[in-house]
Amino acid sequence: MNSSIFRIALRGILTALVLTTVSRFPAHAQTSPAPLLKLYVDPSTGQVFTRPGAGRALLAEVPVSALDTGAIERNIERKTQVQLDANQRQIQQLVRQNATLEQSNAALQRQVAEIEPAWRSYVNEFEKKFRVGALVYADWRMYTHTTFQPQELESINTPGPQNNLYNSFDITRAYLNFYFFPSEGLTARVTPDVYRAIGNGTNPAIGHGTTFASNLDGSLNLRLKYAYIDYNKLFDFIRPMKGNSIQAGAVPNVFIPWSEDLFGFRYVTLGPWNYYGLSSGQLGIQVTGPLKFGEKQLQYIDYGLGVYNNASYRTYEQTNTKQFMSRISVYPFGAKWRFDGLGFTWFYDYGYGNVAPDYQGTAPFFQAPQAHIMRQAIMAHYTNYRWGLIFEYDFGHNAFNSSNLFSGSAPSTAAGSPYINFNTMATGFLNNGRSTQQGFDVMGHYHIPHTPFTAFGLFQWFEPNTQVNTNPFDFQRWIVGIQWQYNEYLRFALDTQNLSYYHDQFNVSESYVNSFVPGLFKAPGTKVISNAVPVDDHSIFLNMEFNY
Amino acid sequence: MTKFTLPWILGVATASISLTVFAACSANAPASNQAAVQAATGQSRPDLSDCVLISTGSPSKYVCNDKTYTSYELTKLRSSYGAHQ
Repeated sequence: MNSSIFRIALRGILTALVLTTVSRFPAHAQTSPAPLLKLYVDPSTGQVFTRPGAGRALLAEVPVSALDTGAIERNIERKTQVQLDANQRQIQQLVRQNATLEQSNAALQRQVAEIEPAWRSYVNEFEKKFRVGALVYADWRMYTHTTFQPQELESINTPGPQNNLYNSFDITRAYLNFYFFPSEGLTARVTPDVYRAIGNGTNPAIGHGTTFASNLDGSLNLRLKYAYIDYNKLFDFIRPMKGNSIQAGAVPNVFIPWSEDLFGFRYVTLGPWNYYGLSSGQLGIQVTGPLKFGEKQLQYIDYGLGVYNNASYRTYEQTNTKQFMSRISVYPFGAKWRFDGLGFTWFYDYGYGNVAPDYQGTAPFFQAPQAHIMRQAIMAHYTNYRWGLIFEYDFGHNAFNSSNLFSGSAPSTAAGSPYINFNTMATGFLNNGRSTQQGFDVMGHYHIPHTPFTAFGLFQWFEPNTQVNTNPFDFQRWIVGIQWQYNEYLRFALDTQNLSYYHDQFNVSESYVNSFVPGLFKAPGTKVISNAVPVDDHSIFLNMEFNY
Repeated sequence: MTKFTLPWILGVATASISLTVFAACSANAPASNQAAVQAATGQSRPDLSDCVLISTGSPSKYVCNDKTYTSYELTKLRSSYGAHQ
């Protein structure tokens, strides 16, 4: 009974095994009969045999393929491959997701970057659109002999005769140059400069019983020197005019700054017409530029035309007329660069005294302050890398009055001063409204080869009024010095500056002065101005220029 | 009261004009020793001691070897040249 049950159970197990195997490999079972493994059982012992024998009964037939290990391996490989493919797809999906994330991250970073450097953008624009510079002239000067004279440099003054060995440290220029470049070709410049405030201001009355002390005490103050708009593309469509510039505002006029650059030693002294009183800056409008021709675009002409106030940049305009200036420089051989080679220049200036239209002059000068002013300069100049030479002939009308002559040091007219008549004589000869000026100047420099040293010199001979037979104010001025150029921004000069009223000493009769301004001396008779020729001036300067 | 007589002044003026015109006649000669040095050595670095100042401003302008440089540019060239020494 037991063996029968066992046999039935074993047969069931084997049948299930066979069916399972067959169901898993249906194609093989149907298409090609596989060899069978026959199993036999001994019911008495329950042992299973692979061969028939006595007392053994067939238990089951099992396809050999069901026991094929290669098939099993292939099955496992297939399942593994499926799994790998699934994993690969998952990885690729992850890679895609990662790439998307990276793109998103980069976009985010860009956004952050665009947000972050607002200040950096501002700085970059600032660098492109804005520039700050500085120009400082300083000196130490010592006079072995002092006199009444024009200023050698702006904002310096010297005590008159009998003040030998006077010396001083000075700042004569301290530009702060602000340049704005809002668009191509357009420049705005603003330049404050120092000036020496001189004078004793009147203490103002405050209410009934109060006053404030004037602080007009000789301080170095700041004032506006230049403020203008410059557009340099206006005539660019005419090829020879490329490089032109039109400027409006408080501008450097067309002659003085140009002549300063030609000579190259403005930090040492004023140029001739600047020394005689023509300011370097006025309010107005001007056009300047070169004319270049030929394949090499050589400059043959350099021009400047301008209309300005009669007032300079440091005074207010009173007139209803205006001042005209022109300068034209011709380079007959063509100039490769500014000032290169031989050049000839003509400067012309015509304007009027800066007084209001309803000005009513009083005796003895009447309308003389309203008189026209004319200045001209005819120049021949040559410049190369080694040396430069300038010859200048100046002439003018009413272009040099007593204020110009005594801008650096003036005779006192206070009661008891020994110079009252001397000063009156100066006004009679120079402020009469009919004066004519004439002067010759020679300037030059020689650059010592392969050294930072340059020797320079200037000579001026000037007649403040050629109408005067022998004018005690006729003078000659000479400067010689040596410059040391430390680098591109800094240079020094040691020089001697001298002014000589060259006529032999003589007396001037008051009646002769009255022939220029009738009634100037009330009762001239035979009275004279004794020793009418001022003494000479001799000085040593140590100058410095810093420019950035 | 130093005496510079009219003949002396006219002499100086005449000499100045003559010298200026003479200079113009030699305009075809090498403008500077710098140009000759450059031709001989092939060195193109501008040396301030062989340049000429043509404009004082912010910045100043110099001409070296017929080329115009600002003071900033000359400083950069000098600095970079020094760094390569």
